[in-house]
Amino acid sequence: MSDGIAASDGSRNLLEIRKVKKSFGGLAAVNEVDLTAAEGKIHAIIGPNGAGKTTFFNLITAIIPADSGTIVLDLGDGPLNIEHLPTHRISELGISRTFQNIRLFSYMSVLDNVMAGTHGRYRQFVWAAISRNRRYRSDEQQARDLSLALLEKVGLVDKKDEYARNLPYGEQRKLEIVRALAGDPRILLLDEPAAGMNNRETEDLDGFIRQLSREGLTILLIEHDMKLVMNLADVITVLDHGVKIAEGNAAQIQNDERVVEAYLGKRRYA
Amino acid sequence: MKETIGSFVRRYRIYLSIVGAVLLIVFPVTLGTPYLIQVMVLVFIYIVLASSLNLITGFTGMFSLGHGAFYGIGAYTSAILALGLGLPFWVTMPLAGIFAALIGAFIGLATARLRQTFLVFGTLAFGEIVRIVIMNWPDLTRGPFGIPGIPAPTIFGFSLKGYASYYYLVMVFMALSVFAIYRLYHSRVGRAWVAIREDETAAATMGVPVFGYKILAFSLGCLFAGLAGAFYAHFVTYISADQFSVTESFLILTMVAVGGTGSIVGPIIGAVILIVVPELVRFLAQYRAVFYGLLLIVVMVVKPEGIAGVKAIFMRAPGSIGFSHKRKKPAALGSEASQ
Repeated sequence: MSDGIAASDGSRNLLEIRKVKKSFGGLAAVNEVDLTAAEGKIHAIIGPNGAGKTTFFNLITAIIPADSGTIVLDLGDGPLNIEHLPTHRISELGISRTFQNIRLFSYMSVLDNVMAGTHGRYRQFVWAAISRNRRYRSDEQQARDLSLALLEKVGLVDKKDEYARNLPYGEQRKLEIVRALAGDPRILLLDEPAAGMNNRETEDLDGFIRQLSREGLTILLIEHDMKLVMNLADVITVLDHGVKIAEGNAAQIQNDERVVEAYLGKRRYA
Repeated sequence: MKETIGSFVRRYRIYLSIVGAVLLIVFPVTLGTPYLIQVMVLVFIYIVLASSLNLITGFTGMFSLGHGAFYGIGAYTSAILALGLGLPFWVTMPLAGIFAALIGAFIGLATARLRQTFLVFGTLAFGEIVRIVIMNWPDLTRGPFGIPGIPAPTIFGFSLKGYASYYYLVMVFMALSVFAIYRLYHSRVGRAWVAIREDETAAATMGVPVFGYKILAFSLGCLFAGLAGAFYAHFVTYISADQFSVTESFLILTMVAVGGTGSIVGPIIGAVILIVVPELVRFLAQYRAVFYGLLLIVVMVVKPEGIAGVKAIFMRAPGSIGFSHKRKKPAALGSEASQ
């Protein structure tokens, strides 16, 4: 259905979401939202509280099943409908995420958290784990090296043996991103990564996200920090009451009347 | 004090394990009276039972009060196959494990979607079903009469009848089981289990097929329980349904909870304490259940994760009183406040 639709600037569309819908009771939390994520771009999703942003991420990762709509992933070898796949399959296909309220494996070491993130990349099973055959040892070593390299990148390598729960808040946020990266995703969904961060930490985060984007990762970003969003995002989608009300670059969004209305309320004497 | 013991053990763990192994090996020929050897065989069997339940409850975070039933399924399978079909122990024992694992997978399919309290009751009910089936199927199990005369295993034509030879057999079985569980724990599979225990949704987004791994944990735990049952049956030579009742499941769960959940040594410590201490005070035998109960209460209050455990299986309500309950940081910022 989406064969080879090229984005306007020539980069390929990795993810095409068409008319996804999810209702809780009578309330449409996400109502027929379309979204197209182009490869290598940073795509922000903003909106007032309760606009359905996190639900939207939960639909993409199949944590909640969508009522209707299609989600098509095209990694270069043809489009693939993923809306009926389970969460772990979607992760294996290359969509990783973080959570708004950090969901680390608290009673696992920092290193084990990241190594658990590599789960989908390997195949060894019970017998390999018990016998520790050559294949198993090399895979395990590779997972370990790769995890350590990622921890090195965010400066957490010294804390690799600590329980994740003992890290300070900012480092827990970093660890969660690193854990998501350990699965070697093509698309990374970040759900309010800057929440609770101070200015300096947010700047670090800005740099880190940029770096990931330069390395070719496609990023979907839910964020309330408008400075961060306006700086980073190539495309911004605005949701309000589960409906997409605007889409465009930072300048277009800032001047969109419906967006201003959604955030500030209607001008009475226009 | 706790820190010094811990670091001492860690530093000298190689020497300590060599000394421990040597002591266990020379035990039957030095101070091992038949009675002491018998106690040690039971300790070994319960180490396997507690370690395998820990795989289900401690690693993967699923309660099970049906472990005694899988132990019983293993014991009965091996005994019936040995007496009915005349198969040797080396055939009946693995079959007992596999059969218990299959039933475990089946029960896992039915119960792995349940959480916490519901899972406790589901597995508890299953344990009771198994006991009642054994009691009421006299053609197969001889019902309330139990099965006597289960033959001792033979190896290269020698019967392992004496206590000392059986001691070595069960010791090897225990060592291999703990070793296998240790390696599973420190592997991709073990990390997936612990990830499920910590946060199912996050585990799924890391590519872990949560349901499949829960069934896997359940059936592997039951595999070891079934094997332990076979070793037990051919050791005591007589089994009956009341040996594998819910009380047995409680005992194994208590071992895991007291020794420590989610670690390798925890269940070993728990099994040793809960078998050896009651033997030391045999004249108080009728108070055994009181001892188990009190021990469980004390551990839950003082050290909820158990003596050498990683994470408590019973979580204390936030804000309630406790002696070792320390909050590291405000709940609003902590990861445990998620969802």
